Amino acid sequence: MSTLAAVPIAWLVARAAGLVALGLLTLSVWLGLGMSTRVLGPRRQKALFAWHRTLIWTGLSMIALHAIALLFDPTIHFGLAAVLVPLAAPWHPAAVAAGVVAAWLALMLAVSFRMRKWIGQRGWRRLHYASFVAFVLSVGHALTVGTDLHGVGGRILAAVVLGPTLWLVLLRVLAPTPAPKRRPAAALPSTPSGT
Amino acid sequence: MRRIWAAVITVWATLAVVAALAWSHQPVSGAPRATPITILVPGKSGGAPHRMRVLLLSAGSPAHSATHSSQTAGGSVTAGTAFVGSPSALPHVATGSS
Repeated sequence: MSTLAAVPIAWLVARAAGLVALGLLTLSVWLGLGMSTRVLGPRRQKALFAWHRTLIWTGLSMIALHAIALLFDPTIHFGLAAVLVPLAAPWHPAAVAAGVVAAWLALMLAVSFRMRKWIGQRGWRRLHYASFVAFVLSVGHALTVGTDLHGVGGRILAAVVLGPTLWLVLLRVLAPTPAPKRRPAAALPSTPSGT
Repeated sequence: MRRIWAAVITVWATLAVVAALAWSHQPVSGAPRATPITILVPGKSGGAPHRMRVLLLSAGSPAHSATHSSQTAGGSVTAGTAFVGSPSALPHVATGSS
């Protein structure tokens, strides 16, 4: 009983959910870049796109768990405003704000998949550049206030997360995007659902 | 099916990380570990010495000092450092304060 009471459950869940959310969002960014660079091949674009969307929503659910667990932590004293409003946190306000802004941007991007019909393909692609901002902010948030990412752990995480991302971004910028093959209008596939 | 797989893997991954973090968590045994000692402080200009009660705090006594990083922060008052007064004067939130 006393041993169980000594374990800060909410704090452990908040840390674990934050780490898993970062992992899921990183995978989603890699998948998105992998699709746009065609590193993963041109054939399975529809399936990869579906996984890209699923990973964003799963990552968002883990961000929600991260925030809810912080609300229940008896030590850090975070209120609802602290986890929803940037710079409202009493502890490391700037670093926490980076995480809050990243979460809102991720939510906006996830919702934008469903708004594609209204905002148009070009607008959606422009909006998608916010994913880089969200990614950088979330990594910065993790490295500055992440309890488990100080010292060597943080350097390893930064290398693992940022290395492939930078490589894919460079590939995206430097390599020309392959033009889609033109097909007769009758043979064009229907737009993937919700895309 | 894809969403179910993603949810199942995510839940298991979270549980695994929680278990790993709990495993690395060193349970705090009740109150902060502090050793009270009494020292004598010489009075001014040769006056009578004062008795002063001092708490010697060991590292990792505050809450949330479960991980290596937070132990560093929690252990800012290291063993051997005299800390006069109540240990509650220590920063309560120890994690990531470095």
